[in-house]
Amino acid sequence: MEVRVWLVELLRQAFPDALADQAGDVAGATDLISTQSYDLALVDIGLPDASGVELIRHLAATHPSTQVVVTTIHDDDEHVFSTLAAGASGYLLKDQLTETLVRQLQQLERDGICALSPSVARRMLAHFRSQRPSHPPGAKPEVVLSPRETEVLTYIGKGMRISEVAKLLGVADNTIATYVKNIYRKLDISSRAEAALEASRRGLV
Amino acid sequence: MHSRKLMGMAPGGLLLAGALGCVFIGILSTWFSLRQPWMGLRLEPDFDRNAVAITRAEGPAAELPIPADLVAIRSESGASSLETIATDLIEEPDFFDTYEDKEEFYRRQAVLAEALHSGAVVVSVRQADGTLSEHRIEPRSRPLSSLPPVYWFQVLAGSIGCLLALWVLVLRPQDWGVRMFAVMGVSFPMFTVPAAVYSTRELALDANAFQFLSSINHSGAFLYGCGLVALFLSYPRQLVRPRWLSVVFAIFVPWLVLDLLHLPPDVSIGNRIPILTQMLSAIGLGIWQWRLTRDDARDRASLRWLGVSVLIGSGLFVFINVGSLLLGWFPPLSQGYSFGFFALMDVGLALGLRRYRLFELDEWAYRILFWVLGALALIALDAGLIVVLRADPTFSLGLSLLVCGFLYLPVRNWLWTKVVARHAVEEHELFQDVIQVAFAVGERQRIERWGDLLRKLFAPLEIEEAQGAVETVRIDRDGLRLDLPSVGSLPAMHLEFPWQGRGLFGPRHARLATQLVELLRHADRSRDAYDRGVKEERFRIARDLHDDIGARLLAGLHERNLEGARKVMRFAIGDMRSIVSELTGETVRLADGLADLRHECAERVEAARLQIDWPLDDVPDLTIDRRIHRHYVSIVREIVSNAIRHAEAQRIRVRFEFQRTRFVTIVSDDGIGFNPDQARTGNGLRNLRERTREVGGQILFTRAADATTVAVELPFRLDSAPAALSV
Repeated sequence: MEVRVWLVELLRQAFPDALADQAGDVAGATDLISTQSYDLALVDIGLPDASGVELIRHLAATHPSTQVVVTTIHDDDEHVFSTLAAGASGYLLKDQLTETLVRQLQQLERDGICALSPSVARRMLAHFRSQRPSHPPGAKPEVVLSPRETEVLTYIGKGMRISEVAKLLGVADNTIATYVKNIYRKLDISSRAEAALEASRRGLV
Repeated sequence: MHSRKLMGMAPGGLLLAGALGCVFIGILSTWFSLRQPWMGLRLEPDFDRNAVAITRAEGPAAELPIPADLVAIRSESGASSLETIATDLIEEPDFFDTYEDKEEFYRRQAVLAEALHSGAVVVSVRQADGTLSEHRIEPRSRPLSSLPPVYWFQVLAGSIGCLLALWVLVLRPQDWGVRMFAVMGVSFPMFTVPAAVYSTRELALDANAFQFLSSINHSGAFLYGCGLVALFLSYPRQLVRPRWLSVVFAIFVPWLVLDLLHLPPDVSIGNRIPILTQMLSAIGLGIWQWRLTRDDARDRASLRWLGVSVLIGSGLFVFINVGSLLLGWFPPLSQGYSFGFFALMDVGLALGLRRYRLFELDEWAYRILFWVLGALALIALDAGLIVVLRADPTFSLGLSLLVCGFLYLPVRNWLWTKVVARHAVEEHELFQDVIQVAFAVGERQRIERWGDLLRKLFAPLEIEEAQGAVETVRIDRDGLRLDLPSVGSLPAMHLEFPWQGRGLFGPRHARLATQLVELLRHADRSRDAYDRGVKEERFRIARDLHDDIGARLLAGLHERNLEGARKVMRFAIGDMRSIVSELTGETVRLADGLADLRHECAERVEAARLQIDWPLDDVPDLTIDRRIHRHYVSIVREIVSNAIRHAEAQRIRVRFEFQRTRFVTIVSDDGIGFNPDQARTGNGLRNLRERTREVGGQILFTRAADATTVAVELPFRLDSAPAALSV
């Protein structure tokens, strides 16, 4: 409850004109989005009735125009990673300073993407690198990163922020943001492919 | 008798040798008995009619009429001839009151034996109706079946008595009481076995052999009595010094010699009086011991049991046998069976051993006895196989193989593994066992496991805690005992009678034990270090929780403004997360740690609308401890926060230097700076200093007119590969 109030306050600081609705669980949130479309959704991973990841999937499928941002105190890669694969545009770590969070939300509005932390970027690189050899050739369409996308992830993994990478590569910030969004999309596809592969391997499908 | 003579052989071996000796003596006496010429008669003395009654005739004498009396016997050649009388058949020459009668008895035995040995004899027989007849009998050697049960009874009783005494002796060779008990035990077959031979003769033995056997019998009886007196002089309390025990022998041995030379006036003085004296002395000493042990319940219980067993056993024998002959109170019981009273004593002793810890022995002492019996069974089994296969020609080869394969070998193998085989302990097993001892929970369990391991290795009959101090592993009592020093909380121990008394401790075992003790000491130290480490680690976690999270939460409690409180809490959560991930013991790649730190700091600096200058240098490929990482991140975070909050700076620069043994982080800003010696931000600075010291580093503040520089030095080691940053 407290957290939700605080998040709403945060939103007001970032977007003074915005209107915000809130729900305490996945069921409540599903009700809200069935009647209305939102520009932005802040979703917590640990919700009382279901995993936030499910809600993110649902949102991404039914409301592609809604930006989904995960709010979490878990910055361990696994949590964040699965939400990005599920269709989130980014994540906010709740223990960061308010100014930082406000900045990141504004960046989201501007570039369509939140800051990507180096650790998550490194994990993504590892994911795409490790995924390739395990794919039986021709079994599924391969999901590979383009050289540019790999480069962007590598820089971010080394501690650079999106604007710095843009400056380094001599492109606009939102070009990098597009790369990152592409990477998220590929992450989604490859995660699903991996899940499907895993399912067929276990004889579930 | 001194213990040193017994050493060199393990107790089990000694006892087995003793048992085999008993078996050998039994075989020898039986062989001697069977060699005597045998007519096939069973004769009974009839003292009322002074006649020799024939109760049974078989073998060479099968055609003799019975019942009848044997009147006379002569050799066919007529060289030796004698009319038989009842006393020719007495079982014990001590029956006679005078040495003259005794010598006369031996003279008659000599004539009879000569006749029997001469080849064929002619016996005169008178039937009940008075008819006299003469019969020619050709004696042949005696069949085993003609030996009466009382013969076996005496041989067996003697052997068991001897064996039990040896049993106690091999386990407690130093104890004078035990030594005296052994004297009794060894002299027991000395009087039972010769008596068994001559008391079950058909009619006569060669006089020399008879006298020789009788002498041994007398010597045995005297020695037994001496042993008995000396036993009660030594046990349970030592009443006189051990060397005074020889006085007992000094009195009775000359007496024995006189008796053997037939010098005393009569048999009573030469033989019966001394034996009775011994018996009465033993009873007197028993009473003395009883009074001495009145304060000690345990000694008294031992004494009671020993006294009841010994005094009843030998007392009944002496009083019934000697008493009846000397004083004529009651008719004599067959001497052979009255030896059974001694057997009673042996059984009593064996039973009392466990309950009353006679001679300080306990239940474990039985095991060596069982082993010897098992080993005897094994030998008997082997001998039996040979006898059966050789004696019975109907056994075909196939049948022999069948018996061997299905009966003999399995039984033998079972006996072998039960009785003889030792279990070797593998080295890795040993190591595991030592670790189990060292890491057992609780002292009692540790002592138990230590005992288990020692039992497994050496199978000693006895393990006990040492009374005095033991400095090092050493072999004691000529290999019977191994002393182990105390290790940590484990007490010093004595192990006695290795391999259930079948072996001795040698230098090899002492070395093994030394290694074991060393290993255990080492494991002990490691465990102590481990315990200390655990304690330190717990303390550190507690301190971290208190210092980091506690301090933050406390600050949050006093924070008036909500946003400030939230911030504090967020930091607290971050700290907790760090502490938790540290506990998983992972390391952090320095490059990754710096990347994450750069990202975080850059976000914060830009949120504060400042600029950051933090170039992406190449970072050496090192991993660092999570704990150090956490402190390092906190330090840099704090420095950057200070710059943002207090320096009124525009730009923050971060640089790194990777030197050979140091890793230096330099954070500088272009703000107004601060005076590190003044207390305005003192608390934060002290915190920084403490954190740096915590990870073995240094922090240096320098202030110039237009800039403040903070340098953090952390030591790292590039000397060891893979290089790791640690303190």
